[in-house]
Amino acid sequence: MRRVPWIAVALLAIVAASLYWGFSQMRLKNQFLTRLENTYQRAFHELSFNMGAIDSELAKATVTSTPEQAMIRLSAVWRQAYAAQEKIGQIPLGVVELQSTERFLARLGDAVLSIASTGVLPNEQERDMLEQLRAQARELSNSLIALQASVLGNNLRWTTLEVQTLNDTAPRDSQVMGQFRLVEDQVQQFPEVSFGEHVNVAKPPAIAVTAEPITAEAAMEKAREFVVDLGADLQVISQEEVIEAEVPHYTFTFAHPAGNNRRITVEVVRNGGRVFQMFNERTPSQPILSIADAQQRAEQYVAAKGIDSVVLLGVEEWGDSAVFTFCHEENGMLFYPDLLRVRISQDNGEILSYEGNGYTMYHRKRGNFPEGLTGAEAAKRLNNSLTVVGTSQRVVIFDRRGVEVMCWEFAVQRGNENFLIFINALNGREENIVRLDARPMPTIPAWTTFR
Amino acid sequence: MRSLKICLVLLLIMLALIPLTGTAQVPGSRNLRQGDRGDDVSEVQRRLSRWGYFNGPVNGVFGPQTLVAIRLFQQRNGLPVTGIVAERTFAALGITIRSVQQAQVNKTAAVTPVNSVSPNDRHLLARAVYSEARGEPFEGQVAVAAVILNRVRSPIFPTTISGVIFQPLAFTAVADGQFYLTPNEEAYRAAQLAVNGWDPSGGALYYFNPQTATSAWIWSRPYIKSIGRHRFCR
Repeated sequence: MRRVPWIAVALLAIVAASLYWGFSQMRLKNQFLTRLENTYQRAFHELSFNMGAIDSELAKATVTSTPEQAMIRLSAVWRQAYAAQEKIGQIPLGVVELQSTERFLARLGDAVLSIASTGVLPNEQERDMLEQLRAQARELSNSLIALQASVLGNNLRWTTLEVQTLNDTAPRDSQVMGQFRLVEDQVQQFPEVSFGEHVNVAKPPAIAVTAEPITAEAAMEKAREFVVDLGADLQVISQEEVIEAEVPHYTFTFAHPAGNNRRITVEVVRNGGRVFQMFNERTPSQPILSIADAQQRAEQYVAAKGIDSVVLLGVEEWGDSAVFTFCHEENGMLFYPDLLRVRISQDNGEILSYEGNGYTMYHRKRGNFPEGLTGAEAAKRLNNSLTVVGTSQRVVIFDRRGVEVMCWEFAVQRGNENFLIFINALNGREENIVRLDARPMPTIPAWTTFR
Repeated sequence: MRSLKICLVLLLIMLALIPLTGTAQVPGSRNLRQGDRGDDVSEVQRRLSRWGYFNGPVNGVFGPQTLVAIRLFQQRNGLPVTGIVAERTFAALGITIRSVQQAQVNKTAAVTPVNSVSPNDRHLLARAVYSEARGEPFEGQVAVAAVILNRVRSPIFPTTISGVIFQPLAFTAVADGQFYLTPNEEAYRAAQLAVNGWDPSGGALYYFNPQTATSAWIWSRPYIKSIGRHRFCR
């Protein structure tokens, strides 16, 4: 009788087990890939559906004769445009940019929502605009339908494409990608639609863009002057002119006098030379100062920077430091666009960061505002289930299109919820509603000082 | 005789209710001493415990432990050690009449650039910052969070923080699972600063690490600035 070759049997068993294991792993992997593929496919096919729905609902909006129907249809267009945008964000397009398509959808959505919110039938000009948009949406929809057919016909797998993109082996000239690029090109060639009043195209006037540019030397002086309270004659470690930024600026990095490789970064707007951001970051040690003390430091700091007539809007307590938000005030009127924030450490009261984007961009001498409605007149426009808390005041805010409007601001209460309601002081329109959220911050990990 | 009884019962009920009516006190609207109850006591306890003076429960009851804490607080802050929370002690605790008014209507919500940032969104943001930019200079971390928020505001990207973060192929750390690491405190701070409106990236919509970037396309974006190892672009 021969001896059983136990070693061979054991090896065979191992090989069989690993084969089985490998096979089940592969099956699992394929299952997951398929599931992922399915979510991608769904997003893509829904995108095509959304585009078709935009076309169809726009068509209905242009033939209706009742304001109600127009409003329903236009709202549907807005919803579909929003959904389409979301779907684009869910497809792993990678190398293909659909920026023009997304921008088109965003503007389409804004425009139809704005028309719908007038509450009346679109006038002739608006109908023209809707017709133009509809023609473009139809074109886009047709291209997507063709693309969809091609994806189905070629059995394109998004996951394959995604893996290729991650490994940078994606064929830039694959048929489907080429078709996507064609869609994008097509949108880029759409003639400009005149949106009239309905879409905010121009940004609000920003003096940081229109003022005279200053030189790097002048900017460095401004930066030095700004951080003089942290130390006289600080050593400049680096400087840079940042032209392509949203707001062209100079960045200066100084060495903190405390050493330890601490840095202070100051950003000075090129046009006009205002300092708009300053970082002096560190983690504060055990807090000693109360919020009231820190508030005093913040107020002193802002005043020392020559920024006068600002009022404190709110405090955000971080446990070891606090962020104070201020805005410009003139004759009892608040200018919300002219905003700045300072963060004060509660161990020694040092400034940790300063952010004056709003103040830098928008603060200027404004013309006189007309009298407008009185507070009592504006209050009549409020929903009568609300209780007004405290005194109302006149404020300037940006409306939906980004234009500065003067409003009466009412702090109101209903039940245990608080809101700010902004009533246009000239025409009584309700410009904005802000809910003041009193929900406490959840405790994320226990060690964070965030609340 | 009967009505007197009813009166007595009513009086007792009213007396029993007195401690309850104390709970809706606005901090700073009355002086506090041992035996007082209410939200204002809780607020004082909360602040005392945050600064390490008070270890007891924040329960709105001014008990002996609170008294000891207040005395210690007054002593350390150069206030007369009275054990009573009055004007000056309130001020030292950061509860001034002014800050009370502001606490009631904290208007920062009205002016915060990205209005609908929930605490959970901040958590997502912190994860993105940690997984994408840990080890970068702090500003670089704020800038990464700012890029995400800039994308939320941009018409050419998804409109929510989660939409931007989970967009396929948008962030490598989300694709490779590093996103699920637990972020450190620095990442939370960076996320919070960006939510508050700080943007060291100069309005960037993209960033990449030139050493590891595989896509040639990303180099075609208009360059804004570099922070640490990241190049920020429009």
